[in-house]
Amino acid sequence: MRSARLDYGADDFDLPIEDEVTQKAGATIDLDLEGLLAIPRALGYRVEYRRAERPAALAS
Amino acid sequence: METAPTIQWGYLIYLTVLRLCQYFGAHEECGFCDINHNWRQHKKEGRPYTGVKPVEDVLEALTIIDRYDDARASKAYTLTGGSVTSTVDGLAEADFYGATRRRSRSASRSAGSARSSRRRCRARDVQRYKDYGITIYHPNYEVWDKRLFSLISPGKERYVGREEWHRRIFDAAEVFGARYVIPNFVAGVEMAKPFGFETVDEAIASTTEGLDYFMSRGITPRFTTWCPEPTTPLGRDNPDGAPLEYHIRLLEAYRDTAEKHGLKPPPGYGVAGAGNAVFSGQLLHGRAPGRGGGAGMTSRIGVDEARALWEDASDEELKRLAQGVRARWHQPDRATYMVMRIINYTNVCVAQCDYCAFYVLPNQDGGYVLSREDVFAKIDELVGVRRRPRRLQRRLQPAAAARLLLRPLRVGARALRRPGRVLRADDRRVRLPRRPRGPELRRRCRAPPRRRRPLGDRRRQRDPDRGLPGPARQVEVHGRRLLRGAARDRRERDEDDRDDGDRLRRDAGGAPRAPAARRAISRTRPAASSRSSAGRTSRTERRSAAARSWRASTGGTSRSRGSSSTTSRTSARPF
Repeated sequence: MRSARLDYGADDFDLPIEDEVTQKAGATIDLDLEGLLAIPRALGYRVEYRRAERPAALAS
Repeated sequence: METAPTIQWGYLIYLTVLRLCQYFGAHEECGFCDINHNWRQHKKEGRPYTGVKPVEDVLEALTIIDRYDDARASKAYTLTGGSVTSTVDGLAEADFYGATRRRSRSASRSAGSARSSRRRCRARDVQRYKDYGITIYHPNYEVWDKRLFSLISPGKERYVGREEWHRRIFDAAEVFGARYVIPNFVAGVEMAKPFGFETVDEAIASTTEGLDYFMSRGITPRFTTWCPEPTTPLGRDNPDGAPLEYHIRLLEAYRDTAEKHGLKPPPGYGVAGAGNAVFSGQLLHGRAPGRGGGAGMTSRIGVDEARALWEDASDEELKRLAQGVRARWHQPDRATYMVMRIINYTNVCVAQCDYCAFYVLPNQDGGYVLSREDVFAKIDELVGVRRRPRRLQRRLQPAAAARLLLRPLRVGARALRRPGRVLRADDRRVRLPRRPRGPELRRRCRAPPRRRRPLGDRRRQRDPDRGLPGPARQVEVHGRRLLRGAARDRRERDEDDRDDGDRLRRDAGGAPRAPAARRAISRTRPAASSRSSAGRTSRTERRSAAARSWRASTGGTSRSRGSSSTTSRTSARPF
């Protein structure tokens, strides 16, 4: 089920290690980051870390 | 209930440069509009919300659009905002919007299609819009029915009047050309209780009459769907808005009327009707349709196709289609991720979002505010785990609290440098005040150097109250009520034919008399005959005569003007 979003067209995802708001609403956060990244890799995706930065068009 | 827009026409950029309207107060504001309510709410909460949006922000938005819109989807931008009945920044409405338009020209390719909306002006003011380079004009008439116009848009009725409003629309058509005058009405508001039509038939008949009136003269109105805003009088009374049947029949009536008069959709707009909606969310991660993957933009699915997918499509087919859409903008085998931590430096928030179980209102139990050390520890902890944190979650607090909370973070971040990059890592810039408030913070933080700013700078432009007309101030002189200062200047200016509503004259006439200043002196003024006998003498002579008369009536003695005696000083200035 974890791969559902990628199968249905998503291309980018966040791996939060803390989000008090959603945690208070009942969500649990899995801190096994490598385990999480193994899922898209197993589906054949090339997984890249997306740096948080301004888009190139704005940086110039 | 969510009210979705009936039509999203083409690619339009709306730039609200004046976030309040000078049709101000319960007796002037349009019943469906919350622009002033928004402004009042923000000011009440102490948020840094300005009536006049800085031109720099407008330019920034246009620059971003210009750079990202590789598909050249943006065909026009609209400068909009509240009506200006007096001045903003000392500028009349046409000059205010025109100045924004002039400065924004260099930032956008679509400058030739700039628009201005909101208020109807007389022909010579319309010409000024044209002279500023504005090519399309939106004189919104809001609602067609005469009775409803006066009730729903009392300010427009009071200042201009419905018939005059319509007449000026035709005047504008002579300046811009009928195709380029696009008056807007608010679709559905004519059914708003307690004043609106009871049935859809009545509402459609009335609105169609208005469409026919304008379209028969070559002017193509447009409409925006009435979305009941909870802070407006009509929104409070009509939370569900107009029924769906109304909107469907309005589309039919609009299309039929346009065809009857041989009119095409107005410039910048597409064909109205179900399935013709075009949304502008085509830019993902800086990529426009037609780029990435080499796949070009395809048309959106229709209603029937969507229904078939919803009811019959298998999961595998949905996956295949979704991947196909994904491949239009992104490499098919590439997925990106980001390790992040949402740092809530406080749970105190005043927004009171319905879905949020996290917030605590100010002064309630359970609220917390993290210290700088705690926040930086969380950042360091994340950096130790992987990469960089992404977001500093800001909640809505009163401005003073936000300043106190955010200021030390920024200054501290500058000093530490690394967290500074972290805090700015998110694409969303967090705007922070420039100087710390309070002696404690000043001691602990290094304030950035103050820059000398020229007149007319951004700080002045952020003054939120400049856009509002001030009350007419009165003084009483010899029993006559006079306006003074800025109000007097405004009255004199409004006495020319640029004044649409004669507001100041009306206000001056209806206002209570100001109390007489220096009442004790006014009781001992010279007799009226004495004053009138001054005739056409000079002001000094009249004053001297009045002073002599007053001294004679009160038995005062003559003293030198330079005396420190109260009597003497008073006698020298009898008025």
